[in-house]
This record gives sequence, C-alpha cells and structure tokens, in this order.
Amino acid sequence: MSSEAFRCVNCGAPLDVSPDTIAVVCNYCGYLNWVRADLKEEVLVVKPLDERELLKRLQEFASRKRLADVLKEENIVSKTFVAVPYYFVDVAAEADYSGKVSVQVRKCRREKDRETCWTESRSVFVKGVYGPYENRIPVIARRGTEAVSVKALVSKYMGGKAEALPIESVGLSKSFWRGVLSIEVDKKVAMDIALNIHLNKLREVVTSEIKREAERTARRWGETVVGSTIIWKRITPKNIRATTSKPVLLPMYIASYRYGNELYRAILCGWDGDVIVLEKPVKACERALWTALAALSAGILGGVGIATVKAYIGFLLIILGFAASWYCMRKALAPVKAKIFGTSALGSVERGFEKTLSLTRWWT
Amino acid sequence: MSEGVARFTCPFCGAGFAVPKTFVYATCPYCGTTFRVDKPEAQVEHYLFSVNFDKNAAYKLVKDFTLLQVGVAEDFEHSTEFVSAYQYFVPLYIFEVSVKALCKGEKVEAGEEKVEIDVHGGEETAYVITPATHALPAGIPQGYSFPARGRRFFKPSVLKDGVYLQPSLDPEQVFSTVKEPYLRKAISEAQIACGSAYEVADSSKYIGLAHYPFWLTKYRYRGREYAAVVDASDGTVLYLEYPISTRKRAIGLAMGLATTLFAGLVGGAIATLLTKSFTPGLTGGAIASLPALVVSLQTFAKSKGVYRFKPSEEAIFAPVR
Repeated sequence: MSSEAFRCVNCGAPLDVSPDTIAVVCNYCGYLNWVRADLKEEVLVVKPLDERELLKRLQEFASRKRLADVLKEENIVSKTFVAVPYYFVDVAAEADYSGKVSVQVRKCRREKDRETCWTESRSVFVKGVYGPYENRIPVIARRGTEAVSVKALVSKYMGGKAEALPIESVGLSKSFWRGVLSIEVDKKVAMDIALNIHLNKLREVVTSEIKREAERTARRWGETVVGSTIIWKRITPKNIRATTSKPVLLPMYIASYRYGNELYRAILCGWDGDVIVLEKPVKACERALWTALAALSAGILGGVGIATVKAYIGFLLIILGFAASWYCMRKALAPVKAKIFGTSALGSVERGFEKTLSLTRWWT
Repeated sequence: MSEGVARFTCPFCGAGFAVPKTFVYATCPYCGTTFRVDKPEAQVEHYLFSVNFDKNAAYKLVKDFTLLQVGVAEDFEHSTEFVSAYQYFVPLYIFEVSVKALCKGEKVEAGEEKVEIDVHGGEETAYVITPATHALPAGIPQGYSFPARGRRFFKPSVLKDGVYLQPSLDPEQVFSTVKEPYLRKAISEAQIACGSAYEVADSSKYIGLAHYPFWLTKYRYRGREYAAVVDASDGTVLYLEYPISTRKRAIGLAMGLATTLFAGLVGGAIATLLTKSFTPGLTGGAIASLPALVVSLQTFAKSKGVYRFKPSEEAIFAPVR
C-alpha cells in the first residue's frame, strides 16, 4: 500500500494518491484516472459554480458587511474546494407503545370564603400504534465529527433544488478533484447510522406522545392537569424500512485572507455561492462593547434582583447576572475570532440556541 | 541483541528488523506495512496525516497568533527569538461501533440499498477516534477533532523525523471501554421494546491506526521561555503561552474593576428607582458582576498569558480545516 503504486493510465506518470482519493487528474497529461473504479458509475455530484463566480459572491457579501477592503483578491492566502460525500437515507417506521403515566392534577375545594388547593395524582394507562413516522436522513460518508458548516451545507441542499448529477457527466475542474473527500462509509453502515438516528427520534416522539395522551385522558375525566411522569413504558419499533440514495458530493469552498496581521476565513456553499460563515478577528471596539455589556447586564440583573420582593426570583436574577457578566467578559477577552453567519448557517445555530432555551425552560 | 528487543519478519515484504518488546504495533522500515506484534498476519489500516507546516512555518504561525492576543507585550514582534521545535506524531485508534440488541425472533432483511425489519429492539452506531497512548504532549485538548482531509498512507520515512509516539494502550481494552456506553444504550432500548427477550449482536470493528503530527515550539522573550503547540497538519494553534506587558496588565485589571464598579452603580440606580434605597442595589450589581472580574483577573493577574484551544468553539471549521 504505497502511493508509488499508482500511475496514470494514459501517460504513465506517477499520480499523487492519498487514502482519500477517488479519482485524480494527471498533472502531466490531464487525464482523469479512477483510483476507486467501483465508484465511477455511482457517485452523484452537485455541480459547483466557477471559482471566479464564487469569489465574486464572497466580495459582494464582504462589501455588505463593510469588509470589502479586507476580502480583496490580492489578500487571499489559500482557497480550496472541499466536496463532502453524503448519503440520503429514507427511513419509515411505526411503533407499538403502551405505558402507565402518573398525571398530576390540581384539586380545589371552597370552604365558606376560603379556597384550598392541592395536587393529586391519577394513574393513566395508554396503548396504541404510532406512525408511520418518516424522514429523510442525511448521513455524512466520512468518519469524524459533523460540524455546523457541514450541517448548514446539507440542510441547504435538502431545502433547495440543487440537482445532483452523475459525476462523469459533470466535467469538473482539476482544483475540484483535489478536494473530493473519499467515501469511507459504505451503504450498509450509512443505513445503520440513519436507523439509529431515526429510531432514537421516534422513541423520543412516542415518549412525549404517551405523556400527551395520558394528559388528554385525564382532561377528559374533567381534571386540571399540571404535569405528568411516566411510570413505565414500552416502545417497540416495527415495520421499519430504510432505503439509501447513491452517495452525493456536496461542494463547499473555503477561502482565507490575510489583512495586515489578521486572518479571515470564509466558507461558501459551492453550488450557489451563499456565504455560510465568515470568521474574522475581534476588534478593540467590539471588546469594549462586550465589557460594557458585561457591566450593564450584571448591574441591571443584580439591581432588579435585590429590589425584587420574592427572594427566590431575586436569587435567580442574580444568578442570571452572574452568567451574563461571565459570558460577556469571556467574549470581551476572547482570543481573536468572531463569526458572521450567512443566512443558511443561522438555521443550524438557531437550533442549537433552541436547545439552550429549552434547557433554561426545564431549569426554571 | 539486547533484552528488550524482539526480531520480526515483515509479513508483507519478508524483510527482517528489530522492534522493542513493549510495542503493540510495528511498522516495517522497508515497505511501511503496519501489523500487530502479537498477530503479524492481521494487517491494519495505518494512516498518517501529512505535515503541511514545517518548523519555521509553525513558528511564524505562533508569532502571528500571539500578536492577536489581548494584552500581548508591545515589543513582542522584535524581542522574541526562536528556541526549539519538536515534532510529535500522536497515535490514534479508529473504531466503528455498531451494536444491536435484537428482540427475539426479529427478522432483518438487508439488501444492498434497502433494509427491512419487522419488530425491533435497540441499536447504536458511531465512529470513535481516540488517542492510543496516555503519554500525550501537553496542550492537546480533550476531544480534539482531527481534520477529515490530508491523510496519507503511512510511510516508514517519518520514523526518521520527529518523535513518533508508540500506541501503548491495548486496542482491545480501549475498544471495550469505548463500546460500553453504546452497548448499554442499545440494551436499554431493547428492554423498553421487548422486555428481557433480547439478544445482543455486536458487529463493531477496529478500523485502524493513524498518526497525527504536532509541533511543540519554544521561543524566548526577554530571557523567559514560552511554549506553544501547533497542529502541524492544518496549522491550528492549540496551546500558547505569551508575554503580557505590565502596562496592559494594569489597564486590564483597572478595566475589570471599573466593570464591577459600573455594574454596582447601575444596580444601585435601578434599586433606587424601584425601592428608593441605593446600597442594596449597589451590592447586588457588584455581586452579579463578580464573574466578569474573575475572568479579567485570570487573564491579567499573571505576566504569562495562556491561550487554550476549545474544540466546542471551533466546531464550525473542524472537519474541513
């Protein structure tokens, strides 16, 4: 297994082959050699825009963000295509479920002119079939972590109308071939991964369905429901069907710029030139702003917290002030980098934000 | 021949060579084949991430990166000198975890592009990459993700340059530790699906070994040494010590105190508006801003600033770095 083994089929020149290589364009004669012949017919690709066009789109984005001076072509230090391989797996499943739920209900009694209230629990049994529950699940055909940028790319693809074509019919440039990430995950494993994701989601959905149904039943009995806990549950996934697409290569374009001592990096969606994320150094005025925000948020939350009559709310507000001042100060003294997200990445970031929100909701 | 060395014949090219007895893996210096010392016939995948930054480039990265830090000494650029650079290749194990806890009588029909299951228990699938040694050089953060690109086939020539760290942990032991939580989750899913009537089917695989390069760079500023760790494959600075000037430390600390004072005043003003008393609000605001003060103290209390790479903050670029 050494790279010396690969030579151009056309001219015999040595080819630069890494474990990632699917196909490589010969440096001497320009012939396209397939290293992984098994993938030749099979891989689809979303045709990327021309490099000129991509850089133009980035320029436009930069001037909107008042960074036109920075992202000039003469400041480019590196630029590259990366094509990320994905499978899209359609999964459908049903679930038999049953469960016993303890539903907390609020009871009130009026005695003369005074009302007393308390909580009681009702035990509710539920049973049924959920589904079919269907989804299309993107599975990255690489070992390693998924990142926000890659997720943004794939959700953009799934939400858009970009067409994936057989790779041989697309006519791709030399610089593109160098950035193709090889497919490491086979279809069987991809389907396993998709099943795992889908069924975990199904279990989650059915669990909340069990609670909801039990609460509904209690309400039908005329109760005022305040909460519920599952005592035991059974969820059996059944009639599961998974079908996978051919591997699809999604192109992204990465460019970095040097401006004085500062390094800027941008990731673009390869087929329509949308900026996914732009990374830039933190400016002194931004640091000052974060410091001011740290002081202001701590002051307001601390002040209101002390002034609040109810001790536990005041305590909570001060704790929030703690968190806010810590976060803002960390931002103020953060090393070097800030991020500007394009609209497509915002979706993924928002989902992360929602998670934090639901966490705080759970906490309070 | 000394006590701690065993002789081996390469199962691939037939060349003979010596390997210390403590090695779990051996790489043939002639053809580059890697095999397990106790199972020479079982070849493993062995990758190497390429070194894209040499020691001068790594030093330049460190200098550039230092200039971006908060409070770095004014004359840093002209008063530093290069001291040393060591290259480390850190060994990593790559595993594919795939465990299923099937309900008794579960029928699975798996084709090339289709899977059908009638009734199902639990399942977990994941790829896990973990260091193959405890002896990691300082500064490589836990959970550091390695870039998806830039892998090469392992070549014996790297043995000559850099410190090539041997995988010292037993892969099977690491594997079972890694697998454990996935197995537990699959079983608990199956218990929810079909009670105690389940069977565990484990088709997890050990994929192979990869070596990843880092630079440990040292530089001197006004007679004091500072260290930095740089990812030699993609140029990320992972750990950095840098000098902070006295003037900037004073400013930073003053700023921290001013933040607390200002927060107190704001708190006081609000409390005056709401309850007509100033002092409790002053205390409240000041207390709430204490974490900010602590953060600025942490940064400016010492004359040696420290930067550490945080994987969670870098999750955006990670796989395509």
